[in-house]
Formats: sequence, structure tokens, C-alpha cells
Amino acid sequence: MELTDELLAAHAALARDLWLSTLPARSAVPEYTVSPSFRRKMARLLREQRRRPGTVRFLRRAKRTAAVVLAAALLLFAGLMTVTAYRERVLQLVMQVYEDLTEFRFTNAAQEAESAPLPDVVLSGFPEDMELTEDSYTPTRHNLVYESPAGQFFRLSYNVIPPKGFSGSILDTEHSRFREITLRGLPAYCNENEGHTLLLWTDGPVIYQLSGNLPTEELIAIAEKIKILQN
Amino acid sequence: MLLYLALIDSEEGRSKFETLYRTYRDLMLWQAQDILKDWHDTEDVVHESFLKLTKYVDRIDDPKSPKTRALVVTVTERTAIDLYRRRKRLSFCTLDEEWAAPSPEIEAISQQSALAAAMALLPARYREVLLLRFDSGFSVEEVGQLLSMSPDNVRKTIQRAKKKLSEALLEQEV
Repeated sequence: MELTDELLAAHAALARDLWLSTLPARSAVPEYTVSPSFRRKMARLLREQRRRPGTVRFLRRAKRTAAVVLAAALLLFAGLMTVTAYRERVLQLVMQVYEDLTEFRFTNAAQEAESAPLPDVVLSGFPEDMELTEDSYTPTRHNLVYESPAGQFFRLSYNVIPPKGFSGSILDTEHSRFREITLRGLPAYCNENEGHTLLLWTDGPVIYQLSGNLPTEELIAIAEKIKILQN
Repeated sequence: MLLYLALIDSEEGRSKFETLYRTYRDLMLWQAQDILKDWHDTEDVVHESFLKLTKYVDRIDDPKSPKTRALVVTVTERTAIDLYRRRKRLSFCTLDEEWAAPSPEIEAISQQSALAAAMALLPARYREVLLLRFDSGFSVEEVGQLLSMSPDNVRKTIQRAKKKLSEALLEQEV
């Protein structure tokens, strides 16, 4: 028998139903209790799906009219560079402020052939009942999540931008308190929104984001105490 | 707080995605856990599978149909097997090569359609590709995206699946 695509298509639905019959019925699948981390990730994903159409419409409108865009090509946080002029300026930032979100686009204009290695970090200064629940690492990104039994959490995510590379983030700044601060002697951004705080700063070719539902002062204290170990 | 970028385009898509989550979350967790035996990895796989599915929500007509159930389970299964392979650092994974055990339903139906029964019993990789391509109607490129395979690899897998099916049917003297 020659197995043509048409023949397979004709029998595929029955094959699918047969295969599905080998899986447990819905009533036989246990109701799982998932971790706070999973709940948060899925809640965020669901929330993003709910809100995306409006955001997309807004972005399209904004791009079309160019009326609400504040585009500033800066050497990183140039307004504060007098404080940190001794630091090597590696990443360029383009920040676009929309009605309900702010887009950050970091570009590494360096001409070196090789990317800087991702540093290691040592965290301290967080509440004693918080434990490490996620530690994912790739050559260019490191994510660390700490959680407490009471539901408090914070996440440190940092990634290195290779020469000629870029990285972008969109920050939900609707109904939030968004401001520039100084962190670790560097210019930084702080966004507080519905009990969640995000701190964003760069150091060399590395972008750091520290977020969580701890009080902002505690997150800032944790950020200040991060020990960076260059590899 | 940080937004994911562009995934679903319509109001209908949004509600479909929520229905998918409510309907299949536990089944996906069960399936991933069955493969991985590690709860942390299981949750990561289910989250990653939902992320993959967001790109195809607009292609789903009925979130509770058998076709959608097959799509969801297939994506979860493949994501879990891929992680299993990475974890075990295996270049060859027995999970892909094992034929499924025939169930009473499959044995009963095999009298009607030996081909459908053989397709249902194929090793996971072959079954996944065939069902996504010929039942769900995804293009070779889309199958590749859903299963993290190159289009060339999808085409080769289809050819190998046909060969396996032919051999299975020959054994049954069909």
C-alpha cells in the first residue's frame, strides 16, 4: 500500500481519537496544586493576553501619528553621567514613553568581536525566610527568584548585551510611579505598580532588573548589596 | 510587570486562551510530570507549552474539541521530551522510539482501519508530526515551530513515519 498524504489525511482524525483514548479522562486527571511561581507566571501570561489587543492598537496608533512619542537617543542616562563619568559607557538607551507603557531599547555599540562574559552575583540582605526557588542560567542571561512561604518574592534577572547587539523591554507604566533614581552609584529607573516594584539599571554591557512585591526600600537595599563577581 | 510581546490578536483569541488554560492545565501537568518526574521541570514545561500555544490560538476553532486536545497534548509532550533529553544529555531518546502499547479501543478499531491504529501506536515523534500535519493541517514550517524542529527535519520525519507505517502494515499483512 502506498501511503500518500491524502491517505494519511483521511485516517488522521481516527488515529488522533484512538491516541487520545489512551490518555486519562478529564475526571481521572488529578487537580494539581501548583507553586506560587507557576501561578504568577501563568497569571501574568493570561493578563497579557487579555490586555494585548488594546496595547497593540495603541502602539499602532502611536507609531502612525508619532504624536506621543518621546524618543531620546542618549548615552546611558546622560543626565546623570556627571556622577558616574568615570564608568565606562557601554550601552546606549532609547526610551520611548507611551501613554501606558515605556519601551526601553538598549544597544551595545562596541566594536569588539567577543561578548563580555556574564558575571556571577551574590545576593544578601533579604528576609531570612526567603528561599531560592528558581535559578536558570544561560551564557547570556541569569534569572534568580527568591520566595517566602507568605508569598513574598523577588526576581533578579540580568543579561549581557553582546557588541552590536540590543535588548528591549516594555514596562507597564500605566497607573504607576515611575522615576529615575541612583542605584549602586549608577543611574537607574524605579517603577512601582500595584504593590510590585521594578528596578532597572545597567553596568557595563549588563542590564539588571530586580523586581518583586517586597517594599521598594527593601528591594533597593538588596540591589545595593548585590556583589558582582566578574568571570 | 514586563509585557510579553505580540502573541494573540483578537478578543476571541483571548477567551480561547483562557479556556485552554482552564481546560488543559491539569492534563498538561499530568503529562509533563509523567515524562519528567520532576515537578519544577513540569511547571516550566507547561508554561513553555502555553507560550507556544499563544501563537496558534487564532487557528483553534473549538478549544474543547478533540483536535485541540491533541494539539495541546502534543505540544506539551514534545516540550517535555525535549527537556528530558536535555536533562539526560542523551543523543538518542528511547521515549521517541517506543511504540505505544495498544489499548482495547485501538485493538477494536484496528479491524476498521489498520492504518489509523498504526498511526495511533507510532512512536511519539512520528505520531506528533503526522497528526499536526495531516489532522490539524499545520504547514511543515508551523509543525517545525510547534515541535522545535527544522522544516527539513519535519519532512524527513514524515518520510520515516510513512516507512514505519508501511512496515507495521506489512507485518499485519494489510
